[in-house]
Amino acid sequence: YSTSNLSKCFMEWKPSRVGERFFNKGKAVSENVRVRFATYESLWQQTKEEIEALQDNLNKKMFGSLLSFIKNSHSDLQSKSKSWSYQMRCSEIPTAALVLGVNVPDHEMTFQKLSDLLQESLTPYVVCLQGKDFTAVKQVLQTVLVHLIGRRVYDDEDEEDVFSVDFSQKKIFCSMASLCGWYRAETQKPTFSSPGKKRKSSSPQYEQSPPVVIIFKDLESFLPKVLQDFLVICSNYIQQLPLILIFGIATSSVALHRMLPQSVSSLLCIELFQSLSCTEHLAAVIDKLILTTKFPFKLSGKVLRVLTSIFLYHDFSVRNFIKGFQLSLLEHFYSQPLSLLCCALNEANARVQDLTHDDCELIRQVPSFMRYVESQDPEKQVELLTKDHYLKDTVRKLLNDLHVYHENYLPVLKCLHILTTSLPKYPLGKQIRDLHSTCLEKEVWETEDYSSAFQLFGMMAKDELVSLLTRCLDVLKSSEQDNLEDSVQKLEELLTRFQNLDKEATTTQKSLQRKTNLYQLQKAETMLILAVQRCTFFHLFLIIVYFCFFCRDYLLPPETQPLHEVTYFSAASTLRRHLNAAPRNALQTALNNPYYYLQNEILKSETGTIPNTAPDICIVYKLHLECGRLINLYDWLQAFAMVVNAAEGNDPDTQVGKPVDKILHARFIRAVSELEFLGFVKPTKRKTDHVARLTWGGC
Amino acid sequence: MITITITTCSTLRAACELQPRKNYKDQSAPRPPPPPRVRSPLGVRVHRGGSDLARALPRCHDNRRGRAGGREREGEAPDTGDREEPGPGAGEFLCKQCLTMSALNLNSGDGADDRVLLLREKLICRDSQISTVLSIMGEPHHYSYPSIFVYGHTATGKTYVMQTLLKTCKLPHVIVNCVECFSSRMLFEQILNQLQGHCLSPENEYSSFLRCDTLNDFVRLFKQLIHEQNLHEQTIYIVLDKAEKLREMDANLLPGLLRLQELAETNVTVIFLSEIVWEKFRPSTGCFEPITLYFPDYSKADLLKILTHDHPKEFCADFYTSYINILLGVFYMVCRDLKELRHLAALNFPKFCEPVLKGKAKEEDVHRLYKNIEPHLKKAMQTVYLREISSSQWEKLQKEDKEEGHLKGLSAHAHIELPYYSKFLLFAAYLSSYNPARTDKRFFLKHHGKIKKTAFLKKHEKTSNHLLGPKPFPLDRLLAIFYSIVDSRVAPTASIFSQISSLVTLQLLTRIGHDDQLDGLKYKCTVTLDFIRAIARTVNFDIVRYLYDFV
Repeated sequence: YSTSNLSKCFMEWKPSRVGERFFNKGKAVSENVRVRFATYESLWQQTKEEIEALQDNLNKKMFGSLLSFIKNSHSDLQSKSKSWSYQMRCSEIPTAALVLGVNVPDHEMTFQKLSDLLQESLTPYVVCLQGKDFTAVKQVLQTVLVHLIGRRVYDDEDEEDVFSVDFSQKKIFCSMASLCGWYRAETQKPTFSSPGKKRKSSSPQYEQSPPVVIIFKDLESFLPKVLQDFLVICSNYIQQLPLILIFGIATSSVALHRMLPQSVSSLLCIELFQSLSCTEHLAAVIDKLILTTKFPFKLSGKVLRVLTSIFLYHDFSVRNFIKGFQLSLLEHFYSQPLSLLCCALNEANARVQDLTHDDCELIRQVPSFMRYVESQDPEKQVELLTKDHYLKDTVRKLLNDLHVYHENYLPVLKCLHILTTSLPKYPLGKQIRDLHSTCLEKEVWETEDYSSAFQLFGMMAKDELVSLLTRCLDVLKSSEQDNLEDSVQKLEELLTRFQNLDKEATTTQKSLQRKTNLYQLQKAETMLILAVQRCTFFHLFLIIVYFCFFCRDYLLPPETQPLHEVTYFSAASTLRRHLNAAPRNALQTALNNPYYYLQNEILKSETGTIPNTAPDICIVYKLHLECGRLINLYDWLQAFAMVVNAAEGNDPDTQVGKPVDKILHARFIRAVSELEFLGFVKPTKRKTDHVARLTWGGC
Repeated sequence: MITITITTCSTLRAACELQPRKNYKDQSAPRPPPPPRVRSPLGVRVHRGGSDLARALPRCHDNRRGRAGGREREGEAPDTGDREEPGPGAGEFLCKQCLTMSALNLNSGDGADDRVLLLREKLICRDSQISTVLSIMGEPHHYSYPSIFVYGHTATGKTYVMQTLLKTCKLPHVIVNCVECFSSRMLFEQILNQLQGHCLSPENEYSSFLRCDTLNDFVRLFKQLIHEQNLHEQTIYIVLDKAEKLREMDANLLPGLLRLQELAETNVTVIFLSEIVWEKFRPSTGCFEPITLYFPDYSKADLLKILTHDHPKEFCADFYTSYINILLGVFYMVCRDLKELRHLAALNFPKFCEPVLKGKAKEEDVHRLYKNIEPHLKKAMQTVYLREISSSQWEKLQKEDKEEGHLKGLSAHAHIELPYYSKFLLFAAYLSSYNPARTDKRFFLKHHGKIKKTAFLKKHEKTSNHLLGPKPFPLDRLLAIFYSIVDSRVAPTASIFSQISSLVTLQLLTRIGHDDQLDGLKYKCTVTLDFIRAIARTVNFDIVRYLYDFV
């Protein structure tokens, strides 16, 4: 969900290659940097594979039903064409409407996957069309023809390599009739013996007459007229050419009705396919990337918030989220020397062994480690600060602790999430990522939401609570952590006792029934009820308090852990600057403070003033800030000339009265037109020799 | 071979006297009156141009030729009256007269002409049109009228009649669909291809037989081809289907094609098929006037007759007729498109004969069958007709006999999820599209002072803005409103701007004016009130409070 050019910029940005340059910048490559870069690459590779597998999995269902639809409608077309009802019916073009959601950048991937899948299993004839390329039907037909026929030409001439591929587009009769002729010739060939020498080994056996699939990637950006004409033409040929259309729809299926009148939509046999919503997709990705101990690299709470807020507030694009994740990975390994140790635990232990003295010094300077040192005994402090050997041992121990902390953290987080999502109004957030980022940022039990959540637990029905707690227990047990085992046992014990309360009550009630005295009976009953209530309450309280402590033990924010800097990336502002650019702010900074970007010592100045040596546009900008709504160009020029003359060392007094130098004049004109281009001034008709200012304030 | 040839006036007159005119009246009686301001179906007029007249109308009464010119403009009069009295005053309809004659002759032919009978059998309910066309065509070796313009609604059998007629009579013809041939070059080449019998195949690299860019080339090549093919003995017919597209092509194309006979100096007739009346075609510079021929809509009885014509073999015609009757009862109100009706009939027929096949009812048990099918058809009207549910899905439903509830139509998925700020941008766009700009101060400024609505309501603004539709607004206004309605401080980042253009690509906003404008971009909001309210509900934003129409 962002403009295609913007997303394209992002796509073109290839971090793996850029990264190398990035790391190697300037100084000679030290061993540390090399290892960091290698770690980054392997980690990113791992993440990428993981995500691809996940996305394949997520799309499996939709693609499965889509493929079966294509297969069925095609075989229908082939087999039933003789029967009465098919002869009577309009020959409709089978059409799949794929509702994909507004996150347009993600669609590219989906369509790529889809066309690969189709080519693998069903048909070699797949064409993808992008709406903005077409302003007339001719172009659509041309693209389809060139894509289908041209591809074959290329395949056939593969080994000869004599003719160039450009079979003359001018010559070709650009109509569906040519396509029909091509298709006839193509299907009558002896079953695919000739084409694709290199593909032969894996070339899948298609049916005798595979369908031609045309994918409209973004239905909304097609011109309605073009689309309508194309559909009408297609429907004329459907008997000879088994066409199947796929529409990618970003908004909703109503768009179809809006674009196609009944006369055209009656030519289609539309079936709807809904893809996974992007929020669910994101949840799955976060689950795989962030809420896991598989990857040593972690995002801090702030960074996670930046990424999720870009997703939720701006673009809904999972791809951009992953790109953001990649950027933070890159940034972490680039800017944090200690990221050397950000790898799997045993690997990290080995790397600790190889640390140089300089690296050790770096570790000693890390704030969280300094805090740790301060908490130790004085003699240990001395040892830590002087002996590298001892330091390495400690670091190894601390890294291990960090790992254990992560392993405990996740199951407990999941438990807390299970409990809180059943509460009304979701006091701690509906999604686990909300809870996660809260826990990362601060001590969750200090928050107001947390206490209100636990108050609500007290009011919960018993059965509900029990079922929730059993689910929690399952999660904890499945995590198989040694450290958690004790607590799990304790919790289990509490839970069974809690459940047995009911039984106890009923048994005592049964024993009561033996008593004959009515008064006694009543009295005993009330006593019992009270007792049971009190007991239940007590147990409930016990469990909740226990759970509270549980959270306190394990859901500590990572900042409390020594050496957390190794794995956590926390430069949220850098990330925001890169991902959510503010062009206006950048422009203003550049004009107000040219030193910021140009890094030239001459331009350095106190805040608020601009040196005379600044670029012309900065001076002109600065001068225009002092004016009102309308600016007199002549006055402006005079002021500009004065400033520049002063910079060039001419005495301003001698210049007064003289006509302005021609070069100066030209420079001024250029600066003003640059300013106009940037949208600060514009010409006005109200007064001659004046321009209107378009911004306010700033003086 | 058509045997009826009208050679002289005397035979005509004789035929006229011999055959009672009642016959003709019977034929024209069921035809609904033609739409107003449309030339009558048989309003064949003689063209003013004297020089080409002989060639154009070789079979007309030569003694009346001279009188035709002066009366041309009177051709607008409804012709039914004229047709009744072909007296001396009906000079300009002289050709019509002979057409009538030929029609009579066709009707009263002694059965020798099996081709006409065959046509009758194939083309139901189009008798008068067939005879008219046939009479215009005449003998293959005669010159025919240069251009015929056939019009009528969708699915009134224009293309089908022409196709079958030309095929059955084995006349040399070319049928071209103008939607497909979107440029004049393609049109020319397609015609030449078809004349040559040229097939696009890999052998000829899918190129056309002859390259032909202009009308001039076309005329030359056409003549050449006719000569090569030895076709100059007979009339060649060029049928241009969906001729309304011709208007969007080169300006000289339509006048040129209308006069092709004269230009190519060969015996060729161009037939235009269109859904639009001739008046909408006539270029401002004037052109050769074709014969216009109207194909009226099928009446309900016609539809019934045509639909029952192709009943399935397993069932008798009466049974199918009763089914079609019920079907028409439901669908005739909304749809008279024969093609669509046929489709619907075929689609729902299995459901209709289901009780019969199961043995629950007999074929004669019309009432029970009616009860069974009627609600089903009504449901079909709501869903299948609009393609809310695809035909194949409908069939599947029918087979499984399930309630339709679980299968939602296309419109059920109207919900759109948008990012948070996009929602607010859309609200801002909606507000600026529907509120007058001078009321912004009142809605978005904290201390706007007390302004009553009546005080600043201008007279012309009493109509609701929602009835008038969205108005364009500049980008600045959109952003100003956006920043005032969104609760948090939002930096003017690139992604905010990119979201606006995303909304444009999603067609929720439209851009007004040129694409390359840097300055003064204007937009319009295209979403409906219901849509915007549904979105506003998701973020607890009370949009109605900000709308001027609802204050």
